[in-house]
Amino acid sequence: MKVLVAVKRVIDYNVKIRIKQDNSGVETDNVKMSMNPFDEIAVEEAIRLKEKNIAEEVIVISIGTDNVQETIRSALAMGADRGILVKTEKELEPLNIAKIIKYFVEKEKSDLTILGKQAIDDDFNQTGQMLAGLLQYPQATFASKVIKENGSLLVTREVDGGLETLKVKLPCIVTTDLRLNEPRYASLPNIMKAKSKAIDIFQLQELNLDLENRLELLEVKGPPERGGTVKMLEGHSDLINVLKNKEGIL
Amino acid sequence: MIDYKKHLLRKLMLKNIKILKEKLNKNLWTENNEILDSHLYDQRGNIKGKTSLLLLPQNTADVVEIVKVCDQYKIPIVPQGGRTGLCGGTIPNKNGKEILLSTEKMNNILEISKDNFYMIAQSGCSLCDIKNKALENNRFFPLTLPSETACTIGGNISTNAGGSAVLKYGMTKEVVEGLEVVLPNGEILNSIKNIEKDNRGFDPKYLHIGSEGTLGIITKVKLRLFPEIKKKAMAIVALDSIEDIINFLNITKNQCYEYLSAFEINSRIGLNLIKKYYNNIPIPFNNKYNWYIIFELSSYDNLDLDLKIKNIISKGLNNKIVSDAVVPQNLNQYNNIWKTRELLSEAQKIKGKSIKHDISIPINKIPIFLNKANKFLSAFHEDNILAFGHLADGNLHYNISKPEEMSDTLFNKLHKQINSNIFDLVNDLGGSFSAEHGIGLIKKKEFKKYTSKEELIIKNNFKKLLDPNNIMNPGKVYN
Repeated sequence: MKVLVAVKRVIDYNVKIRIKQDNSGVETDNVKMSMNPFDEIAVEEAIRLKEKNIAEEVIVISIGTDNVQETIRSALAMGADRGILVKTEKELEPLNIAKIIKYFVEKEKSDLTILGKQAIDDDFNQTGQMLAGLLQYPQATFASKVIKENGSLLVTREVDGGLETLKVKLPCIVTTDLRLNEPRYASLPNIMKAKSKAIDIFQLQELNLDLENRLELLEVKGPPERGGTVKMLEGHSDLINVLKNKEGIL
Repeated sequence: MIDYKKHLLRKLMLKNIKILKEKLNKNLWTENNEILDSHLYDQRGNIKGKTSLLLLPQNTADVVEIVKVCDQYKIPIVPQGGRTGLCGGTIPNKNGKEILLSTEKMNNILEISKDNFYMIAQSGCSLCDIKNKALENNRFFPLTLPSETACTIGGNISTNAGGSAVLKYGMTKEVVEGLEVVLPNGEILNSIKNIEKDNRGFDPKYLHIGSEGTLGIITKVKLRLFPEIKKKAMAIVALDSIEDIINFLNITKNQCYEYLSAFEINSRIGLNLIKKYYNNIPIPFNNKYNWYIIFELSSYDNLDLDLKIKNIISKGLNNKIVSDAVVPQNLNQYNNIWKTRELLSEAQKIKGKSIKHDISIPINKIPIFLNKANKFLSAFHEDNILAFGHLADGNLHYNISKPEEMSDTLFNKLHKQINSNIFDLVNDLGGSFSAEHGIGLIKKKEFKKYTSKEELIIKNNFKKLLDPNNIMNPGKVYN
């Protein structure tokens, strides 16, 4: 089984986001960038499938500028076999990303494509679903457990009130939820080895895809400043007093 | 007879405290039992004191007023910052005669000079506030402690606190440029100046740094600031032996001395504790090695520190000193790796009782120390002996947990014996029984035993000279 994993380079989720002065987007200069956490879970799942001899090859794909190679290298250091970088300076919306990934699913003839359920920067949560639609593949989104059974996958999803297990035929699309696994640390010897793994680079234009943007970003605004002051209470009787008489909670 | 004398003293004390209250403005003190109670514990919670009055000055003039009355009526004062000390230095004694003076209301930052890289603040500011204020101005105040939201800068200075930034910036004394102190007679000794260099004899601020509230009350501080740290990089490295660690420290220092900001040691036993009590933190390497080093580089400009880290580790790997290494790929991993070190004390607390040692040893003698100490602790299973800490400063936290099967009584009995064995060994190796936690209440005996006669005489003389009525934190450090 061949597994393709799509990863996105985003602002590290521990970084405090700063909005650009002209509200055109967020500051990314000198900001720590990392792999989208859900994509990291996708890479981990693919590598686990390989370690269980279920997958033969794990290919990692990403789209963007040269810097994105660093993110692909991270996935290679975790244990993926090779990378694909589609180079572009363009901002692409989910449908276009899905079209590009579709191109490589078909090119690589991958049986399973795993994506994070959403990227933490734009929170679209669309790419996996659109990809399945374009390919007319079955999809299992928000996976919290993935088991291979003959020519299908049993995918468990956390739904309101419990767990739901779907059976999807391969080839298929899976998107990952937070509790699917805990991504591993990349060891330095593996980071070194990853340097010799191949990353195939494609220019976006050479794919000849129709990538017209249908969405327009109007503005990005920060949340309103938090108001209010903090009052230190003096001991538990003061606390009870406030809860009873001021807040009316007790 | 003795009881009668006690009774008289108590009456006198109550009378004096009454006088003090009458003389002071009402908003400067409280007798509220709940508030008092919350000021009677220290960080570790195993020492509790007693008091009938808590003073809450808001500025230097208030402190002067208070201290003058206390000196006149010989009312002993216990100064308090954030009460995060580890040696009971801020806890009043059990007879209730000592009153507390907390600097918690003296929490204003007074001045920050971006151009001249300094900040002046009242002593009751929390370390966290100081650091944040510096950062707001693109400046960095390096002192780093686990308790920084609670501890005060005055407390840090009066205990000459250490922490994880000592390697690059030194102990607290290195980042203090001047102090304003109210002396035990109520006079103000001010060494805060707006010049960098001043060579008019010895600098009186050093009398008070590390004096643990026994020579006066620090009211204002002038702190040295640094440029904001732009870049940091770290790794956790697995090694086989303590000798390998010392070799690896050498490699690191040789290649990156100016950037090295942390070099912390942990062990298989430590990682096991984290794994057991904090199962949400992923453990690197499946914990299959004996020793771990977390080291960090930081710089004021945007250098490629990741590359430097990789070069250092590669050298260690090539020399077969380093067995394996993990470089965090995102900030989440970065924080998780740090947590495997930062949560050790807490994890040990959850495990149960322990005997703690905050010792400092010449770095090249650490292998001898561990070897010998482990030998005379052979009755304890190795899982109960935890050595961790700031290796590059030669500062180890060497803690022994009570084995589950051992009774409290036996453990308490062994406590003294173990302490004296460890401290004797540390002393023989030229080390210190208190690397960064001070003396306070609980290490007075060791202070007397392991300090040279000459040093003790000088220190005692200073105490007598500055505090003839022994009202400043009596019973702490000195007898």
